[in-house]
Amino acid sequence: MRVVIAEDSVLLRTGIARLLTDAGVEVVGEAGDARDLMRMVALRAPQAALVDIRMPPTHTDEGLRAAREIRERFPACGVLVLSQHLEEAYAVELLGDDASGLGYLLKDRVTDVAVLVDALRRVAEGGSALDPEIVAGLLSRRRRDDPLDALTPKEREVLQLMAEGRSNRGIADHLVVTERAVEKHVTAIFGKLGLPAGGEAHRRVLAVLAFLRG
Amino acid sequence: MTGLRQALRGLGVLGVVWAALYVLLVTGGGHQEQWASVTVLKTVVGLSFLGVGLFVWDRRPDNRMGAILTAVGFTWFLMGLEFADTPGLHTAGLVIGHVSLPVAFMLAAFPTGHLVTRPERLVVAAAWVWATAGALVTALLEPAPAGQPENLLAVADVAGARTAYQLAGSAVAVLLVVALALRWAGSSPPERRELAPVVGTGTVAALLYALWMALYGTDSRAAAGQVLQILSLVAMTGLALAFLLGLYRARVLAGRAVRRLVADLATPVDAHGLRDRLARALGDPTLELLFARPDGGWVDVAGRATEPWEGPARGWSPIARDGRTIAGIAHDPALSRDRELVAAVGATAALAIENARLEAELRARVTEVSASRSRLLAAADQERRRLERNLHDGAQQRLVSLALRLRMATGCVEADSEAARFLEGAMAELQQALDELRELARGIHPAVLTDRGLPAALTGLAGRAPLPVDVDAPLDERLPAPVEAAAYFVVAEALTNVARYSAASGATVRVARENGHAVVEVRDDGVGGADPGRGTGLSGLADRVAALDGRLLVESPPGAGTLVRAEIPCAS
Repeated sequence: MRVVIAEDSVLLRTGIARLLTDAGVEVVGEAGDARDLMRMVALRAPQAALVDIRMPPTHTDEGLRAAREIRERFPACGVLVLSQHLEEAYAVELLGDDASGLGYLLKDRVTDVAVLVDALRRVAEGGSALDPEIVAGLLSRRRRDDPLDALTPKEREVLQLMAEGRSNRGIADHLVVTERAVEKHVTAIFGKLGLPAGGEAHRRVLAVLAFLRG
Repeated sequence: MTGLRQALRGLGVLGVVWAALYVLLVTGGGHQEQWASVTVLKTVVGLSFLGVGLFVWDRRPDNRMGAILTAVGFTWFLMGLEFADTPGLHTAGLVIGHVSLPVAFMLAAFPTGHLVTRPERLVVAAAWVWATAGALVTALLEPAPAGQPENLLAVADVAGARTAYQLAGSAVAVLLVVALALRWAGSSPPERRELAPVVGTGTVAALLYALWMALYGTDSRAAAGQVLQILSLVAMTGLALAFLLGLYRARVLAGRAVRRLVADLATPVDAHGLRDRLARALGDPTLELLFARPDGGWVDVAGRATEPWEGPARGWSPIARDGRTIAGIAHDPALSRDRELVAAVGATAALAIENARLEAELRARVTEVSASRSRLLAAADQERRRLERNLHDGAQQRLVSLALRLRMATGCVEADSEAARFLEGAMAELQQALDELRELARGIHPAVLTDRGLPAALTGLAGRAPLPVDVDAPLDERLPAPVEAAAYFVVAEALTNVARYSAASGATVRVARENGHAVVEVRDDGVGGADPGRGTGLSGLADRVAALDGRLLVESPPGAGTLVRAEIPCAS
């Protein structure tokens, strides 16, 4: 997998690059800001870009804007945004109404190379990735007459993984069960929550997100 | 006794002697009859002008009116020369007997003693021409009738010369009335008040004089003429007294104005009200009240800095209390001649002015303090944002880098070794530090509030609350940053309290713009009975809201939930 990294802290950037390289990912470019990033995406045709949300010059949300631009101009390149903020607002804004090829992970996740590579692979393949902690926050939100109370613990687990953007295959692998078993859980969940069934993983993410946000 | 007063006394004695000479001339002359009442009245008129003139001269040496009125008195008695049997004196009387008239026309110079308008100057000039050149020409053209002392100047006998002279005198008097009317039309209310007695009696006297001159002139035999003359003389006496009244009206009025002001000030007034009352007491709607500031500057009743100025079109009277100038009033220039009135009113109002001044000063300070409080708040917010940024871009980046290195280090040690376990422990602790740092940064100032605004930040806040919270924040545009921050922290604190004390099953957060205010409400269905004074949380927020000129209300009846409501002014 060919990946470019955009991160303004050199220390962190080189560290991530090394970690990814060790994990067998081909790092084809390292950018310090959004302009560098756009140039490298254009020149080196990566399959995914790992983008810090805060970059020069304003250090606010350059990463989000770069992600949108990449998805528009280079649809073949997925974008995984790394963020300091455990705020669903940014994630929801990033995924927008087409979560395909987009992901939002907390920055701390870079130390867990397996999670990072998995998320990169998903966005590279046109799927989505949403940080487990953000999903957990959404799931644990208190609701009046909470419909989630009707779910079995297993179904809750499946819902969490769906919201993270995993496919049935991915969920099955994660839970070490068969894909058929996952499909049954998914059908049950959609039934209990009153959601229209089916759809690809990245469409499912948006449906589940919309439901969880109320 | 001053030299001036001595001189004036001398003039007074001279005037009385002069009046006696007049009476002697009129009664001694055998050729011309004059009613005794007319003689008495003429003497009274002359002495009145003399007396009033000397009195005013003594009291107001800087005002020319005193000298002018004295001159009217002296010249008035020249009329007696005509009655002399001696041809020389009689002829002189014919020529200069009426010079008191142009002098009397100086009533147009009231109250300053200077003729100001062009019509007035022309009228006075015409009166001089009439009384001197006109009288001389008439004397040249009209020999003495039979039974009269000889007119030494007569060189020709032109019929109608005297009639023409009399009609001209009548016309000049009418012109004076016109000039006075023009002057009246162009005067301010305080000026009119000052002019009224003199212009009123002056007009009456001039009209009676004009009528008498036109109809009878110096024909002393016609009884109707004598009656008209008497009326005219009574008016002249009134005129002399009117000058006195006009110049001393201030003293008369001061008492009335002060009594009224005292009654007006019985109820407390603000600076604006005080100005209005002073304007009414002094009868000058244009009056402005200025307060002296301790630093030597001046402010108007609205607290705006200003400078007093004085000129031909504006008068200025400072008001002192305990030897210090505490205020001043800018007023119509006519009031500058009413020093007594202005001073009396100023002294009466001094205490109220001092109060209003202190109040204005206090208001200015409060405005300053309130401005500095919002500046402090803005600076504190800015500092919070800077801190949050530094935590994310500095400490957090470093900690993530450190975590990466530890991760790499684990690759270099044997799995399941003691070193690997140490490293795992260190990484777990580091992860906890990162979580805590993130919470800390959010508590200091949530980035999402700066980046995305209040609704997004409140939604995040509600999502983390340990009870169901509905957020209704339909804002079309961003609120000003200080208002957003205050609203956010109010909701954060209120939700913390709800979770901690209310035992509520849910809460709603509502943000809206209403009547130029941002209104923030947090309502729960809990046990109520919250004490707004408890803890520093809400009272600190009340300060924050107050710094933005807003207010924070807490309604918490026992058993009926709690409503925390903040209203913060914000122009839309």
